[in-house]
Amino acid sequence: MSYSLNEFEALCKKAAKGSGLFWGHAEEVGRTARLLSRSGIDQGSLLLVALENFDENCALWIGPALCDVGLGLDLEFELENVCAPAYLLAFLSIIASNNENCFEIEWMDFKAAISYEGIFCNHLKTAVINFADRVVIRRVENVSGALLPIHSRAKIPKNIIEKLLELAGRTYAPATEVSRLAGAGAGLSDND
Amino acid sequence: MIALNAQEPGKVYRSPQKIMTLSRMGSFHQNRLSFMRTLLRRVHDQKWDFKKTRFEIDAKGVGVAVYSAVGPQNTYSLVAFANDLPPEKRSDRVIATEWDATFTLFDGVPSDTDIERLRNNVPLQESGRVTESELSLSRANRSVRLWDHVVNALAKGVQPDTTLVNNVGYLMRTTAVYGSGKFGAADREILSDRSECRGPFQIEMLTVFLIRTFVMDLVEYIAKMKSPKTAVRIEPDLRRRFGIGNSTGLGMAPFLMNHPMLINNWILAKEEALSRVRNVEFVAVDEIKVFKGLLHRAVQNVNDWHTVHPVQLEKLAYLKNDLEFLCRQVEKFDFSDAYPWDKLQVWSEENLSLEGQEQLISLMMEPYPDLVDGLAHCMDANEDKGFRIDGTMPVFKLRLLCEDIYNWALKIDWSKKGANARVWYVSEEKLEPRLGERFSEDIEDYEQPLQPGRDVSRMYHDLRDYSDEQTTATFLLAKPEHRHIARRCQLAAKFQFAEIRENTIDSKMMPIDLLRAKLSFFGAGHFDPRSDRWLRINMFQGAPFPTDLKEGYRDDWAYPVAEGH
Repeated sequence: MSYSLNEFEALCKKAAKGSGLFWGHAEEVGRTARLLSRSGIDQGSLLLVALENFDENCALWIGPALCDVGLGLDLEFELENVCAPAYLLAFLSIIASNNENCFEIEWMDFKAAISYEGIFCNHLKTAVINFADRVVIRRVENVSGALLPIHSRAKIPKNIIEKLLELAGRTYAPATEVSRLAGAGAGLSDND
Repeated sequence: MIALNAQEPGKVYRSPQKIMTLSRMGSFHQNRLSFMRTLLRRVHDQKWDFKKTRFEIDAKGVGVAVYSAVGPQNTYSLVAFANDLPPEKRSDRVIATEWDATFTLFDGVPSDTDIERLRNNVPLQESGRVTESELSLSRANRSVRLWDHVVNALAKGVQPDTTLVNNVGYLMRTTAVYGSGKFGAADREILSDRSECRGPFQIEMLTVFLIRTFVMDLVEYIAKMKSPKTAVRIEPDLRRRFGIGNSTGLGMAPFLMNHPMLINNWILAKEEALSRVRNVEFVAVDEIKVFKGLLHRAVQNVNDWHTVHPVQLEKLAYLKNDLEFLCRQVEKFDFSDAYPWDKLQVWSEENLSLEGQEQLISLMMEPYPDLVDGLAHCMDANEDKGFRIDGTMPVFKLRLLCEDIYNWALKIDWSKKGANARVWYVSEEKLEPRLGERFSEDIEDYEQPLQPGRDVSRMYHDLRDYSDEQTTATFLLAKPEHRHIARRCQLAAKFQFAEIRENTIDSKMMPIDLLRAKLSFFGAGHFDPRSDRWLRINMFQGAPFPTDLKEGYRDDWAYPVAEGH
């Protein structure tokens, strides 16, 4: 089903909060899920894997930490046993759009480059893997490869949406009559 | 007499501590930069063409109509579905499931196939789905007080009662105008390369402007169906007195807190406009005439403003006194003095209530389209720019930001129930934002991050365990629960008007203040609170209709013509 990117971002943010993340991380999940969807890399399935494995080896944990120190990145470094490494593409995009640096990232036979213009990659075959033994990130002067096209909609499979909705639903308070009347502040006649 | 060595005010904005309080934000008035006025200036200047391309409505008022607005590059069409709603189903609340009319703004001109698709979705509102071709989704209910009266009067061949029209002000009121990406509609970002869509809420304002035209056509059509031989149309001057009502609830309040950079840009544009006007050294006679003329019309506006809410009644009484005082002051004021607007504004801060001070600022902008109107182009925001946390910031600097921007919050004793009384949460019922009582409802687990003051205080407390030179990144790795507020704090440091400088969960907090701040930027008037958390307003009252725009445009319609003038 086709969703607006705003809808998808809001849903992923709530799903992240519903799965137990703090609001700050949830905000970053929404933003990066949107970035990967519009780049045609992940439509929520990898996100669900990442949320189930959210710890210090998860890209959703590593990415914000890299973003925080964005300007101070070493020229090249390695990460091991990374869950949902494709999410690092999105976090590097956030850094690149802030400081205009360029990066390369690779795992297994996947390689991509990132600049403020977007994500450059010749094939996405192994972009979406649940775990990578070894991820290499390096700062580079220039990017190469094909710029991934930007999609205006998120095309999310039904089973993924249902799972995200279930997680997001954990952030909603059950409706009560008190809430319906007092919480929203109505109770007056509108038939006037 | 011209003062020698008069001091130029300089480019000085009022301080955020002064402006970003709930009480002042709840006293804002429409001005030249309001989004409705921006829209109408554009469609007039660019000579937009408006066409009614479909009107398939039966005698009961059920059917579909299409109104197209043709701009220089793009066409936008309002698709309106009219309904014959039983009175017992009429509700302004978001939990309603049927309405008198439902609408979408279509990107282009819809085909018959599009209309059929929309017919199956738009009347369902939140339960339906729209697509990238649709830019907004909206619904409206009739004002029963006025609708039947107008239909019956017109059917008999007489004009509606002017007093009743002025008292109610609209035939229908919208209960939601959803934009950017909601329920499947196009994201705002998709339209960002179109100049007419770049300003805030221009799509939503165009939707309401076209709804107003449709509603007037509909009421005249139904009167004619009722009595084809005797029915008349509404006379043009009276027709303009009909706006479109709007009921707005808590859904709008979190917007102000969730879009700090955007709010900063709105306030900054207004403050820049004020600064420019205060720096006008000598005032031309024509400029004084415009100001004085609209001041008298602002008095009329207060006389036309009806509410029964005790808080707004008190504020209106103050505003009425303020305007009388201001009129007297203006009569004896020496406009030949250097920087007269600056002096008048300084006087207002010592002599008028917040309502009066803010009304004066709106009026002072009126004689200066060349100084003010271009600032409308600075009121959108690229919110990506404030997203990344600067983790290299030393802890001492983050602490200083808290002390500088949130000093008011650090003084609050958050262990007191009154300071911590409320919880912003989202109900599972229609997913609408609500405000609950922390100590009497079981809702704390669902709290939304809409209490920056309290959250900064918590972060500030934890920052004490870190040394000055440790980094924000180190702090947040250990304390990720503070990420959202660290981001907000750094953003508020870059954008001075981004943050509300008051407690948003205090027991005495009035959500309607947040709603009014936003609605004033829309250009709404006649704020009529129905409780502390929802209100009604009137949009486009007094504005020209599409056909009027061809005959020229006067950008003073937001002020009613004063009686006896």
